[in-house]
Amino acid sequence: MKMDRREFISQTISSSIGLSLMGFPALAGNPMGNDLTILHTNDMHSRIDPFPYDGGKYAGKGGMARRAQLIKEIRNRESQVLLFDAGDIFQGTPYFNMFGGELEFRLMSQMRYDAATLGNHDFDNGIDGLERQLPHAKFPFIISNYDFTATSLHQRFLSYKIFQKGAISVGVFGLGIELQGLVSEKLFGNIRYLDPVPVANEMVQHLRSMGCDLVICLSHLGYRYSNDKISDQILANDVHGIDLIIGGHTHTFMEKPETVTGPDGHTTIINQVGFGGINLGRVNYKPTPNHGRATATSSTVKVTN
Amino acid sequence: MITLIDLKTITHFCTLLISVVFLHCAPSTNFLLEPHSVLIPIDTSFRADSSAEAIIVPYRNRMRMQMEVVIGHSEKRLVLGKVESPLGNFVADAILFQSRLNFTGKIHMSVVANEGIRAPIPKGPVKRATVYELMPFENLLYILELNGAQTRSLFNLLASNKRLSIGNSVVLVEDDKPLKIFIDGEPFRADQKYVLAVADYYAQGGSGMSFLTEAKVLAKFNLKIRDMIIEHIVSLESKGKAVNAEIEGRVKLIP
Repeated sequence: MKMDRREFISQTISSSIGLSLMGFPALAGNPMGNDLTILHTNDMHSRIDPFPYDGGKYAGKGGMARRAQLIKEIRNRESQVLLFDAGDIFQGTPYFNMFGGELEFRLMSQMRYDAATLGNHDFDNGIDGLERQLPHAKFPFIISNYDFTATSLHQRFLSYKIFQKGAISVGVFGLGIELQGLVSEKLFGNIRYLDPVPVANEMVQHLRSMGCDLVICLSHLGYRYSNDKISDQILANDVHGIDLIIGGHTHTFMEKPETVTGPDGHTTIINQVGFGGINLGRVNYKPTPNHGRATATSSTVKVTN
Repeated sequence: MITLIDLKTITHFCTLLISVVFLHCAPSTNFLLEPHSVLIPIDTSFRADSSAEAIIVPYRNRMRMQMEVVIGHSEKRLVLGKVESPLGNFVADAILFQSRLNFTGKIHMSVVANEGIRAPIPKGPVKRATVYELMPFENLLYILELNGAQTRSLFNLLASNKRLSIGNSVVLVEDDKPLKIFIDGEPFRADQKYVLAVADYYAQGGSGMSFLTEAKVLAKFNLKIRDMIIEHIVSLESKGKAVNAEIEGRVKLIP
């Protein structure tokens, strides 16, 4: 569903009202609503400024400062927001050639991205080039199927992360594409690529055992291919228990997410929003107490500064 | 593969987090979560956030000083196409022409994958920035000597994927296979060696060109492909010539 700005704001407001009318005690006097709002981008490719007015298809679209404004407006209306990126932050405009990705990371930090996974182009200045920019990223990178043990980036990234948003526990893991053939070996060095399917199975199992209500995969595998190369579609079909795959790499403009019913009837949705920061994806989750199951209490360890 | 988050990383990121849960989450799902999704196009209806803009401005100013320089003029808008394209031909020719200025031996041909050409050349003034967007990669020039089999592999790839642009050669494609190949005006001969100007990325096997890793490396230049294209446009401009290219039948599909 494509919406213009006015529509999406009014939709947000009406959904909040809708929730209030449904009489959640937790929502009484909480005009912000209780929805979990997942915002996402992919393949922004250093597109800091809007696409130039050069007669191209995307002229005037995108722009990171505009995205920052949009995200700020959403944050003003929603209390539970998670903001993710599915990789290929780097490469595509002279901003990257001149500043190496510093500005991209600073702006994403300013927008309060919660996490990103790594795309193949994030290695375009090599492992060293990525490492040099990490101090500018005030958000973690989550990548579960690259083994960095033999590199200088060992222990700089997370395999997964659990975000507690209100009462909802959200487990996030990340999958990167095979770098061989996409990135020259001198740039990716000794990163070991692991088969995404077993890694994803392990991640889902672990995150569920940790009590996650929602399991999200940040994927740079690509939406789908004409051959049997591992993709988001194959992942959704082969791995049980992923709720949402936030995709990238293939620059796919999806008008709406694809729903895949995987093994054991679990439903996975796949979404990808093009490239260059032309769109922001938004997936809202409306929490309904699950009366069918025992509601276990959770005790959490909060880490605060 | 589950590695524990090291403590430094936690301290580093926790200022941004409301909370991070590590242990003792509820073992079963407390909620049914119904997804609802929208796509929000980012367009002119959004003003720029002033604090983001404040971060960008100094970078933009430095970038523009270098990038807004007009280096040439284009006759028309050059874009990629389904098979052969004006933009692909222009880039392949620029690489070939500039390679010949740097390598003393004979160079038969050049190749570039269309997926490596990342932006069009607009009609009118061509800025340095355009070439950075077209060829953002820091790829360097390699000169390779291919044997007949390697040369054939290159044309096999082109005939099957139709996403390579070639300089100084012609191929007739039937059923996704090369029916006839002409290189440097001569029919292809399996017993001849061919010299190829190409970016290091492909020489190292990128974009499906693994067969190039077996070719003999005649020269490696510390010369960026992007700078070669810039140099080519600058030299055209200095001769009063416009940037231009046509589809001229380098890749002919036999229906």
